[in-house]
Amino acid sequence: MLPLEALALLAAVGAGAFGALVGVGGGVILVPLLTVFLGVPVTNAVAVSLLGVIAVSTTASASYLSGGLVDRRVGLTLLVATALGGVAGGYIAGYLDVRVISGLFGVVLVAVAIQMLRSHGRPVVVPSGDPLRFEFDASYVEPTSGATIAYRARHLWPATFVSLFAGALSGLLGIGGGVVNVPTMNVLMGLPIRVSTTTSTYMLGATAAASAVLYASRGEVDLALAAPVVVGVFIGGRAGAIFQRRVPQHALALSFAVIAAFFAVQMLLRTVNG
Amino acid sequence: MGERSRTRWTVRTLTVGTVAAVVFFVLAFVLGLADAGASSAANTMGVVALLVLLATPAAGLIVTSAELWHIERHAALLALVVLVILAAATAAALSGLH
Repeated sequence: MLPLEALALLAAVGAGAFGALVGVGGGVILVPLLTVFLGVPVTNAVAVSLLGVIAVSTTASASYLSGGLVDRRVGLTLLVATALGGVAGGYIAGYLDVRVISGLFGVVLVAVAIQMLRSHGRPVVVPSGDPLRFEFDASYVEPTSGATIAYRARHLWPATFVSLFAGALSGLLGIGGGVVNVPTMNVLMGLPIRVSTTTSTYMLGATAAASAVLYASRGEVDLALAAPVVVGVFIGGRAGAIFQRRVPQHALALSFAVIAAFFAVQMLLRTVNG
Repeated sequence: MGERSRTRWTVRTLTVGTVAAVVFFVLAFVLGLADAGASSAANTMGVVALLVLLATPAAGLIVTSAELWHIERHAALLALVVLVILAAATAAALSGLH
C-alpha cells in the first residue's frame, strides 16, 4: 500500500471512531489531517471527508438503531429543518458576510461548551408536559447501567428554528451539522447526551450525501483516496459505536464540549483572519 | 412491537449498503494496485462503490418511512419530506440552478 493511502486509512479509523462517539461525523478531524499532514488539496479532502461522514453515519446508526438509542421522531423532524436550511444557506452564501456569521457562531459555541460542561450532559427534568405543545415523550435503556431513562423532547419549535439556522450555517461555512445538532438536542430540547449524539449521527448521513453528490458531479472525489478513507471510517465507526455504549454520559458531554470549543476557536479565528 | 423489530429493515439496509460500498472500494483499491491494465476496471469499481455509498442514506430514509408508516405516520411522512428536499436540492444543483 502506498504511504499516503496507508496514512489516510489510519487517520480515517481514528476519525470514524471519534465521530461516531460524539455525533459529529468525523469530518472535523479528517479534513485537517488530510490537508495539513498529508498534503491533500482542500477540495478533495472535503469531498472524501463527506464520504467518510456518510460511512460513519450509516455504520454507527445501524448499531445505534439496533440498540434503541436513536430518537427517530426528533431526528427526522430536525432533519427537515436542517435540509431546508442547508439549501437556503447554499443560495444566500453570496449575499452575507461570512466573517460576521462565523464570529457569532463561535461565541454561541463557547456558551454551548460551557453549558454542556456545567450540566455534564444531563437533560433538564420536566415532571409534566403541556399536551398543547408539540412535545415527544420517549425512553431508552442506558447501556452503562441498564436503567430505562424516560425523557421529554421539549421546545420542538425553537429547536426546529435552530436546526434551520444550523443547516444554513452548514451550507454557508461548510461545517458539519453535528456540532449544532448535539447541543440543540441536549441543551435546548432536554434529550440525554447519549440520545443526542446517536440521533445526530443518524441525521448526518443524509445531509452529507446531498453535499457529496455535488462534489462527485464536479469530479472532485479522488477514488484512490476515498477507498482507504471509507474503509478506515467503517472500521473506526463500528469500533466507536461499540465503545460509545460503554462510555459514561458525563464523558460524552466532556468530549463534545472539547469539540465545541475547538470549533469555536476555528470560527473566531476565521472571523479575525478573514 | 419492540424497538429492534421496528428498526430491523432500516438497520439491514444501512448495513448492506455500507458493507457493499466498502467491499467495492477494497476491490477497486486492489485492482488499482495490481497493474496498469486493470485501472479501467478499478475505476469502474470505484464509481460503483461511490454510487452505492451515496444511495445508502436515501435508501435508509425510504425504508424508515415504510417501517414507520403504520406505527408513526408523522415520522414516516417526515422521512419522505427529507427525501424530497434532498432530491430536489440535488437535482437543482446538478442542473446548474445553484
